[in-house]
Amino acid sequence: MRKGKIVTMDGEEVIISVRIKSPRPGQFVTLILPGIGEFPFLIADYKKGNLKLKIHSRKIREEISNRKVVYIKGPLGSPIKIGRSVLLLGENDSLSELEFIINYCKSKGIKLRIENNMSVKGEEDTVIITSPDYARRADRKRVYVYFRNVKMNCMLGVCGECLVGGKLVCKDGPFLKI
Amino acid sequence: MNVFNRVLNNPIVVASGILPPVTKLMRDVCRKYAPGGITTKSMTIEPLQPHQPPTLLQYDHDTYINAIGLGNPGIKTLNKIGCFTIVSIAGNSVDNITLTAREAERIGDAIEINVSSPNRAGYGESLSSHVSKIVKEIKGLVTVPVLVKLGPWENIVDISGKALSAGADGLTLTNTIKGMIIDVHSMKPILSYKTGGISGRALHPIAVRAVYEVYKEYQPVIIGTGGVISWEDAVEFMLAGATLVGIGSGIISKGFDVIRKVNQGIEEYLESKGLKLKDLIGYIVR
Ligand SMILES: Cc1cc2nc3c(=O)[nH]c(=O)nc-3n(C[C@H](O)[C@H](O)[C@H](O)COP(=O)(O)O)c2cc1C
Ligand code: FES
Repeated sequence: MRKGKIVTMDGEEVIISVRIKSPRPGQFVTLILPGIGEFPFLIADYKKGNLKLKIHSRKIREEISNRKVVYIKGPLGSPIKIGRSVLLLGENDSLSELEFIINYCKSKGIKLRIENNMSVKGEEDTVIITSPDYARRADRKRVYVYFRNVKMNCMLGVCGECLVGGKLVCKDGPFLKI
Repeated sequence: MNVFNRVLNNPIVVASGILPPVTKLMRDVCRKYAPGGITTKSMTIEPLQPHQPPTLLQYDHDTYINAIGLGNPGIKTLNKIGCFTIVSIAGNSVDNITLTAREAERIGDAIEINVSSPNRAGYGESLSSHVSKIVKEIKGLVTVPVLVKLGPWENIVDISGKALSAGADGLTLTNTIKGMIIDVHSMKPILSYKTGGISGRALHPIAVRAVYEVYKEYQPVIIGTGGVISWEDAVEFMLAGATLVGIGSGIISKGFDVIRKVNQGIEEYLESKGLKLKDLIGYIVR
């Protein structure tokens, strides 16, 4: 847990100055608001000590706007093993959270195709699906499914609350390989 | 390592509350990391919900505070694991915890009675004053070895004496020690439960002292637990009187591979000293 200072808030986008380990694509952090709770968020970006989160919940944003200091746990979870080419299947609003993964692919020159139509198939060696509702297997491919709304408690792999199909979303996920 | 008439691969056991209470996950850890044994999460007869998050925070280097509060799906959901299994049990009355012991025997090679968790009113620590009665009841009921897990309290020698004279076959020393962290900015406790148990590095010297004091008095079988991050920490526990060594926070911090590293360190140490494991146990007390 690290102390973070709120730098800016602009709509859903919240920037927090905090020193954490360099995250890898697919990892998340939790935001701890003492007296309120602990909330997981995918890392949207982390650069020069500035952590960017996309926070949909208005209630949480309101809570943050009353504070200068919050606490950050993480990076947590397991990175996605990204191959040479990526097919990203997601509806528009779910893609905004995936900024870090998208930018990572761009910065490494990894071929990236983004499709809103969840039934699209492709030649890419890595497939990322943003919702378990569309989870499907594809032959000889790394298929990752983002488990977003799973109930978590400890967020560090000890309590078992986040168990999905024999895996722990907080530790093995939140992008689980299927 | 010979203990309770069993031969264990090595002296390292996974401490209670580190492996999620899910049979398959515990089996996987046994197979992949080959600890001497594992301890289950403290199980109760009826399922218990954990407290609201945040329930587990890193406070400082290799030091944690938690208030998971014994959340578990109920002991009936567990099946036999495969490796040496210590089933930790908890309850909110003498009768209730005794009932749990009966179920624990179905899956465990040993039972550990948790009368020391600071994280749920009515359970754990709240029952420590009834330790004699609980141990006698459970010993009268089960045939597997029975350990009692205590906290690093000032009266630890006293309570250990009570547990042992009631028939306990060993002690796990220690559980976490109750603490609290407050956010001065919002002026609120950081844990939702307000208080929590401190584990890891900060607990280590306190737990070593507890093992030393109890071993000096009674020489029982002890599982030394608290802040084992490196092999030196484990050897310290043994020199103070521990037969086995539990690792909890070290696994959260470093991953399960810490089990292999600690075991390897102990082996190299023994080799360099020309000693055997049993030579270490209680060395500084002799
Ligand atoms: C997240 C967490 C959950 C725990 N749950 C239990 C439990 O259910 N029962 C118990 O007897 N001890 C529990 N403990 C205490 C540990 O088993 C151990 O005694 C303590 O953490 C000290 O060891 P360590 O410093 O290696 O973690 C828990 C500790 C942690 C960190
Ligand atoms: S939230 Fe506790 S194991 Fe995942």
